[in-house]
Amino acid sequence: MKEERSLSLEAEKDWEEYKFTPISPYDIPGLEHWLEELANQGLFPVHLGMIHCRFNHTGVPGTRFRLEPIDQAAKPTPEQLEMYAQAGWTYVMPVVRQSYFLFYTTDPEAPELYSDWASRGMSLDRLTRQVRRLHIFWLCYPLILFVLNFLMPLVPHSSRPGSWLASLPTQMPMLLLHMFMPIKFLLLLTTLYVVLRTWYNHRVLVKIHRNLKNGLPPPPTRGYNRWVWLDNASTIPLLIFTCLLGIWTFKIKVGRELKEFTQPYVPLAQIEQTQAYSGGWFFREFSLLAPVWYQVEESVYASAHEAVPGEAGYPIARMNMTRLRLLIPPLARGVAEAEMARLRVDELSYDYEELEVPGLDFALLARDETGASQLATLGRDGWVAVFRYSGGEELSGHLELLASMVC
Amino acid sequence: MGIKERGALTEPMFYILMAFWGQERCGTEITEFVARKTGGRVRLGPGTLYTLLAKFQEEQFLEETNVDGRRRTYRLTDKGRAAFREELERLRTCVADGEEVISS
Repeated sequence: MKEERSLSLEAEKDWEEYKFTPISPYDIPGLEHWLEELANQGLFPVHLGMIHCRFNHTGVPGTRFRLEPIDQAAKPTPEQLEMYAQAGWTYVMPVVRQSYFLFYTTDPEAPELYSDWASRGMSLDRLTRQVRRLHIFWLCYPLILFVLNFLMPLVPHSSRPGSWLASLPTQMPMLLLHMFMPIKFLLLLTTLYVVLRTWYNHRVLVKIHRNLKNGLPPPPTRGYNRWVWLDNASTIPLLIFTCLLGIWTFKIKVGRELKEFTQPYVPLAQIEQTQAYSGGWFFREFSLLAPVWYQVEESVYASAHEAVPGEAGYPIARMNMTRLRLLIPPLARGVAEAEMARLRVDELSYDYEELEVPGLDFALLARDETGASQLATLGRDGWVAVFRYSGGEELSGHLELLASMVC
Repeated sequence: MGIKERGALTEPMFYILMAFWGQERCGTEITEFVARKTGGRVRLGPGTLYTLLAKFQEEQFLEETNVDGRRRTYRLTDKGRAAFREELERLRTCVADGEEVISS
């Protein structure tokens, strides 16, 4: 019976409890106090991370914990261990993503590790510099993210050096659509949140560091913070959601053969009025501002063999169509012109003509100086269709067909 | 780095440098020296001692002379001696100013 009870107690000690870290990782007094409170409940830290912690049940009430900022080495020097051990402090492990060494003592007579605030402040010098550098990085990161995720996709396919910069003002409406793509929007929101959180953590540490360096005790801290707990608790669900969103985004963006496409588009055969063989692709996009957004690329060939995707063939005619439905109709004209600018060949100049078409908000036609390609864009009530056509027909003669994409 | 750039030494810093005057010591001996010298008035926590030893090495006030397992021995450098003398002079000035005020 006694042996069973002993085994049961041992098993209970091994059993670990998981908790989300409810305190800023740089609120050192707050973290230490929280660990001591948990020790009073019989819990002892096994792992202490920025997001979650694990505890076993070997905690002793009255235990004091102290977090020593890590200087350079991955573990305390033998000299440090000797000095601390002589004073009654035992080393546990590195914690909070290698930011601190955790020491503890169960001896109420053991002296505090620091006998004056100024030296305690000195021990935080390196950590404060590291966190400041991290803070500066996260302030710059949104700019890098903005350039890579939002500006780069707007680079035209054929552009002279620097010409895409000149076209940037025209691309602003399209930039807005890209920013509201779910995965990019989530990335943007997450980044902004991380910037705020890093700023908050930096501020907590700087206040503590400044007080200590001036010989003053650390300022009172919030300790247990419900928002920090929520933030950490939502990390895993958010990661899962982001992965799923990324997979979904990838699936819809992958180009598929046109024969699988069920959405409306202008078949090239209706413009060419030919039974020639056609083949092509469609690509989907999605933005919170444009729930309908897809592109169709279709080519007409002289033979069936050439029409097979992947086979090398020279098309008789080619059509690129972009169709969108905008939830903010005033954006339509700007988006249409941006898409038109994206589809044009930069090395050529275009003649533009605006048409007054009853029932449409706008209708623009353009032809390049060689006459090889034509552009057209039409809009109505938030619907936008943009065409680039290379072939023998005149788009102006098929306006009714093209307008069917916006009605 | 002079006293104006560095700032005045704190009491623990002053006594740690004092402990090395004229002889090499290891970290654990310093605590006893300071407690004995000040009659227990100045106590050096292990964290304070370790941090200040590292700081003094960084500032080249101290240099390591021997490592024997967990014991490291240090000695004062010329720069460290100069810093200690500078601080001593500053404290003498403070005392003199105070006595002048009291006597007047």
